[in-house]
Amino acid sequence: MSEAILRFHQGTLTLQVDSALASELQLGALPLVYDERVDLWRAHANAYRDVFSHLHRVTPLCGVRLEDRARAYTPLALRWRDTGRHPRDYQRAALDAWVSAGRQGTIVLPTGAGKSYVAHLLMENAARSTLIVVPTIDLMHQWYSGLLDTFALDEVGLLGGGAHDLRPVTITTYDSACLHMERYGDRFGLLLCDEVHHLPGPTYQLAALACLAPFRAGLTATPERQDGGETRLASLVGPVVYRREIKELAGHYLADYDTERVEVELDEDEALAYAEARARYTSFLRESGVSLEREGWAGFLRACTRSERGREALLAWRIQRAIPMTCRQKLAKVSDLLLQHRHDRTLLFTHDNATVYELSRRHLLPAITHQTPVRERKALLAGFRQGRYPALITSKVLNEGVDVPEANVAIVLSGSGSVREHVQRLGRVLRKSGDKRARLYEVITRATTEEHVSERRREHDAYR
Amino acid sequence: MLTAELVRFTRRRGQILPRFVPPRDPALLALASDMIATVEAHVGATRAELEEALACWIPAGQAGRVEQGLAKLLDKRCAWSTAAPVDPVALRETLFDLAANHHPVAPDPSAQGTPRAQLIEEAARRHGLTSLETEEALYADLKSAQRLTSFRTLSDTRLVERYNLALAQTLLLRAASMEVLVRETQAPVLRQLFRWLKFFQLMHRSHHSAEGLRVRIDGPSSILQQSQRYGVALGSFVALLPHLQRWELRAEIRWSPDRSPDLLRLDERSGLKPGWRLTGTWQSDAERMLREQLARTESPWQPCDESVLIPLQGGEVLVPDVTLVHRLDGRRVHLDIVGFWRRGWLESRWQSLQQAHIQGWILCLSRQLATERVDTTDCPTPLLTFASVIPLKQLLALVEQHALPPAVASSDT
Repeated sequence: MSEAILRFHQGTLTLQVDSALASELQLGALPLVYDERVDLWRAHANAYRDVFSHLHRVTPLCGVRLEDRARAYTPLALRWRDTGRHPRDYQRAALDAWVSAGRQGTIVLPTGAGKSYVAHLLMENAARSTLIVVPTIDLMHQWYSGLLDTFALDEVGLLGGGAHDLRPVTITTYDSACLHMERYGDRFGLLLCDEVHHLPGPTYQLAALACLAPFRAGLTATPERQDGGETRLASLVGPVVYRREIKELAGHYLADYDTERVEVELDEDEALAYAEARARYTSFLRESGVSLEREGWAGFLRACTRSERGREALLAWRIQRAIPMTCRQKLAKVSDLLLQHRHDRTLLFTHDNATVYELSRRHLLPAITHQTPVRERKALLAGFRQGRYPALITSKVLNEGVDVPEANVAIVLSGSGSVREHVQRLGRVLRKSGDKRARLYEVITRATTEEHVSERRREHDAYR
Repeated sequence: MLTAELVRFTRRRGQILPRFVPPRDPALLALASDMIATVEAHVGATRAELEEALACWIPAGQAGRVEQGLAKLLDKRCAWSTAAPVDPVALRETLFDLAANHHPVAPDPSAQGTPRAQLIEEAARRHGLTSLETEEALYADLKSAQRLTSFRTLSDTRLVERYNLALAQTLLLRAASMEVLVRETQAPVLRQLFRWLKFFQLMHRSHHSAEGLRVRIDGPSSILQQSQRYGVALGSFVALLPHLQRWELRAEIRWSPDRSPDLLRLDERSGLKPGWRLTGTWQSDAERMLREQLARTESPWQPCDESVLIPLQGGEVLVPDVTLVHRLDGRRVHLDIVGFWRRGWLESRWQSLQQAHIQGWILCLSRQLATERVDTTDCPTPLLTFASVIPLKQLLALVEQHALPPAVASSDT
């Protein structure tokens, strides 16, 4: 009896079968390509589910024995710890929608709505060894303790951030997943991508392509990407199968919140320096004929490196950008707000790390950036949660996912025009904790480009 | 490798020509040695200080791409660490706790709250520092404040050679595949070549042509999707090619904004120097002595200079250590001289030989270097064990018994 053998090979799926059988097995209907280098048929590992189910159906009819050596994942019976937690209606509905979609798909829930708990429900339901992919080391640690608190698991594996420990439940980062999926892509039956809007990037999508997990899930509050990559989610983890927005859940499941825009002005000398730097930068654009709309930021940078004038223009651009971010009135406003909210738990957000450290030095408040050592970062976050520290300063590392449910005040001092970033920053203070009311300040320097940037990032119904 | 903005090349008629620097240019070598000396002199200094010192050798922008590239290569040889009278993390913990107990802190006299200077003084006292030292140590572990602890120095010539290699490697980051033409067939180098292919998890198709051995190199998923995901591996692999005396590389590079392909061609005349030392190309004592013995005898069996390459299924390649050719009738036999070996290795080698129906292959196993005792009586391949020297008489008897006519022995081509 002739055989068809499926194998996992470096992030791809191979099929070994007598080539005379190719048409009888209708291999043309599958995303398989004949690889003459090794005389095998080959596909991205994520085609495993389709290929296997097709062959499982067709091979007996053709008298071919199907041997699956690709799958190396295992059944997994998860036992809940007694946490007294029960799914909310929408969490149950999200699970049901995912199961009806064939245990594939993306679930969109606002930050603070308990996405991780939904993930736990999916894991229990899939009952297969699971790989969880997260964007940052912080989130990896957070998932780690979350899983150990939820399930009676002896061990949870970690891959990345210096750890290399594979277990039936393993957490990794997108970076590490890309590095290691070619080796371990056969070990997991459920691929669970947190903050899944990262996945459709040109590099990160390899993590999903090189994994053969038949069950897949993506979680995010904001699937939309500036490059429109969200359409690729469907082929990587499955289309959106369930979605709820902040406004639908606020008050009942999320903390109620207010947003307030605080405007400050440049002092006279700052305004002069700002205008001067801005003039230098815009006149360079005009003279060199570079249009930011046409050639984009990269085009401007290219033009800048070509001449001494260009380098000055780039410097001028940096100056005009930095002045509104740390002008005197804004710094004074930080002192005011910290005083006003001295009994609250406050998060301060800036655009860049230099400002994070400047504020940390000024106010002697803990700061977290990607440079913060892992152990210190954990201690600072824990200290903030427990109330040991009244405030925490960060730029982008807390944009995503890291739980600080006790935080009730967010002060955005500077940021990009990204709607996602702004929604995520708001999300950091929205997690329900008692009957807290959250407050988000946005401090804008008037008559500078910050006004325009602020308009752009508020284009989300959470701010209307 | 360099970063994309540091790459220098010219595009001409569908070709992409890396702008290598002249490796013996006195001005360039002088610059290289100045930059090396600058880094050497800054062991103990902060990253910010070193960057400032190097900046005087580095013109900004495009004009300074070579210098920036050299700096980048030097940076990879630097090791950094935090130098502060106290652990900055511990100092911060003290200060943040102090500040939390006196929240909010007044950073300047106009603000309300606990004066900042007072808290700094208290933290300084607790750690036995001055206020100034405290301010300095507070974030002494940030990247810019870290100190250079050691630098793996190199000669000016080597740095310039490294630069040229890095330039070629960086271009290859945007290659989906490449083709290497190997014009010589020296067994150790060839074997190393295929070992490296495996190490980088690359795949290949090779065939012999009049010019030499053509090897098309890409990765497992290349047939599914033209992607540059193997670019790093291809680039790393290239560092090995200059070990060959005669070689040629062709790759399509998509560097231009419209992603149109340009042909990159490199060969031994490009002047590239290897980026890695060759390991494992040594001749074992047993092989050396066997060659010496044969040279002293009148035996018609003599080693042939060209080594043979036998492609196996799954992208593996067998390269025998010695191929003996009968001087008169051209019969051939391949010798596989094995030093350290384990049972598992032996079994997989048997399996490979059987699956590929390879004949005319003799295994010579060292008894001294075996890591476990293995019963070899049922070995399907002709086999000879030896202590330290391969017994010539026994070997030649086996050779006569298993040698294949010329046409069959080279069935791999």
